[in-house]
Amino acid sequence: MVRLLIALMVLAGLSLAEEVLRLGAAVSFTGKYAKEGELLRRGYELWKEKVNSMGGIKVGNKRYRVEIVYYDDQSDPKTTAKLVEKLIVEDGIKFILGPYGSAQVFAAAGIVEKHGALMVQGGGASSKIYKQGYRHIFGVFNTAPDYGRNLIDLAVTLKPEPRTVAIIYEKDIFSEDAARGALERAKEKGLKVVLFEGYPKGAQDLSSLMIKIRAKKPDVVIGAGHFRDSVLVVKQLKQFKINPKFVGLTVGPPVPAFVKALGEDAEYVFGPVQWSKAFSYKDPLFGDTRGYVEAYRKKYGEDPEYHSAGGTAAAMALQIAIERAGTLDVEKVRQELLNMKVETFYGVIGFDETGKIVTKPMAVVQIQNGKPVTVYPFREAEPVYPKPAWK
Amino acid sequence: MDTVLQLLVESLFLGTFYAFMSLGFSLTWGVLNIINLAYGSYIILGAYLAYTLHIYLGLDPVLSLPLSFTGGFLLGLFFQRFLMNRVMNLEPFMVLILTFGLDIFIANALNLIFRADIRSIDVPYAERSHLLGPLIITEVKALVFVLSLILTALVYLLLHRTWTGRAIRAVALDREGARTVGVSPEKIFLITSGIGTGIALASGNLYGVLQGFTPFDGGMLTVKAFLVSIVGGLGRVESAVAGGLFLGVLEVFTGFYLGEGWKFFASLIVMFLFLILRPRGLLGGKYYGET
Repeated sequence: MVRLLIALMVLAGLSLAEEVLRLGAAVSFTGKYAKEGELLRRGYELWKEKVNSMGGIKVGNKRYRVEIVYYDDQSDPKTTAKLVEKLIVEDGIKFILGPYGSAQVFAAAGIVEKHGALMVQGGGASSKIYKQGYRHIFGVFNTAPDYGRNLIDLAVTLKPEPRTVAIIYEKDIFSEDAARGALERAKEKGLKVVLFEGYPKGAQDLSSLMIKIRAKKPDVVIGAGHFRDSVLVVKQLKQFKINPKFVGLTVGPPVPAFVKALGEDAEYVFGPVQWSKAFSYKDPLFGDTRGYVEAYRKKYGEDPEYHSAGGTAAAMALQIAIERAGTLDVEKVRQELLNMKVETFYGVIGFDETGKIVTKPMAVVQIQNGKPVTVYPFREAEPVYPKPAWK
Repeated sequence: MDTVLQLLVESLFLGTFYAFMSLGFSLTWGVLNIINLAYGSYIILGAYLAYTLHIYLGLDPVLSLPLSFTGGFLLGLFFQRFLMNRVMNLEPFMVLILTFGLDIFIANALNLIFRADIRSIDVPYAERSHLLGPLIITEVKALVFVLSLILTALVYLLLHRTWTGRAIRAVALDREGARTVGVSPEKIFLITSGIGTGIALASGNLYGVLQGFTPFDGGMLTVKAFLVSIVGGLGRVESAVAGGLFLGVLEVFTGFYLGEGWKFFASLIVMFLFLILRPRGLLGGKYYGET
């Protein structure tokens, strides 16, 4: 059993008389999520340093210096559950920062709820987490339906206005949720949905769907699936000479591998992302989004991605709730999280009664010259629309 | 109308590929009386071979077709000589178990080497297509269609115009009879197994061009080859063509009108119906030897 106690007390130059508030996190440092886990940890660490440099968390009249106890969940949800239990039961920690990955978050959530602790997480985007009736789980990642919604939200702002949309999706929970999000929003916005159809998991030939799309000539094509599906959809759209004005894919475009896999054909494809450094919001700790990006760059030598930003945002939401509650009582802190509506570098953070964030849009990126650039809701560059025909 | 025409073209292209793909399966079944459950994995093996040659040598999968066939031929000889010969004369059940084990072995070996990620052979013409009136013809599908047609014709000629082909059919018809006229069934078994496996690996090249694949796709392909053989009837190249086209039409039309998810299900239903109502298939005939 390899359990790495990664970070212990970082003794910043603070007086020893100060009290310490310990938070716990089981994050993947090894296994398939090792990279994302490390990015998440960086987000937590950046927040911790910032808070401690400002004198710590203020609870009532006392100030607490923050410490975070990390364990490595090895990217395995079962291990996450065990480690979170250890954090709560053995280490006596009441406030948990979330792990990375929907399955890990889901596993942790059950344990946190059972022991009446509180978790704020920026690592899981599955809607399932919020459908269990849990009261002590909060998350700052937009859930699956938002992946579809924000693509439609962007599409309808573009001129000439699109009128018809075709939505195709892989039949798994995440993709179907995303597709339904797009479907509902398209109907709300008065778009005509000419095709809404799923295909089996792992399908490698979408010819029959392509023939349908080709016959309907939609202005907008939304594809909800996993990375491979996104690549396949682009290839087959091109193969069938289908040239919609707008191609949006729920997963893929923000990842460098997408451009690598498709080369020039990746150009002008749209895709949603949880957060982008092009956001522009005020922030109580870092001044604004730009301040956050600079602080991150200074500490780690590279620009933050949404994994790190989600971590920082989750920790910050917890901090603000504790400070507003003026106590370390879990129920009161929970109440403050429910009441919260605060602008941060990450966007406006506010939760519905199930604990999921409802106050922030996702960003939408478009591939331009081989790079994803943010075009919604803030514009790093003007979106290219209508999309030129395939080369 | 345009749509139906388009679907018919798609069916024809896909069906011809299925016909060629299933020839090896139907041949080994008809001549050696072996139902090779590892057949689909042979095809996937061919796809990975073409993939590897494409990645490391830049060899177009069409150019590596002869290599795949030769590799498959040798592999077929090897399997026949060292594995199948040992169990062929025992209960038929033993052959099933052996090929089933072989299927699992190949799939997992591929998984060890290539991992479970979906691979595809990205030829430069992969996304090219041409408009033909209201129709759209994708280049890879047309290419696979033409190649399948040529190769199927070659197998036909081999079986009907060469001494070896006639010997294969003779053995299929009557092993002992063939022996009395100087044909060694053992030798013919070897050759047939080689040709069958060669066809499987060669069709793997084409499969890899058509769509992405993973090490575990073999099972489904075996079922398809099985279905083609059942529907067409075992025993002739023409039967495989009939079965292949039937499966092509079935898949394309159910995929379009009922949804992608129904394709496989519909194939299985049809297979059951054939087994119950017309077990000798559309064209009848049981042996490659019957004319």
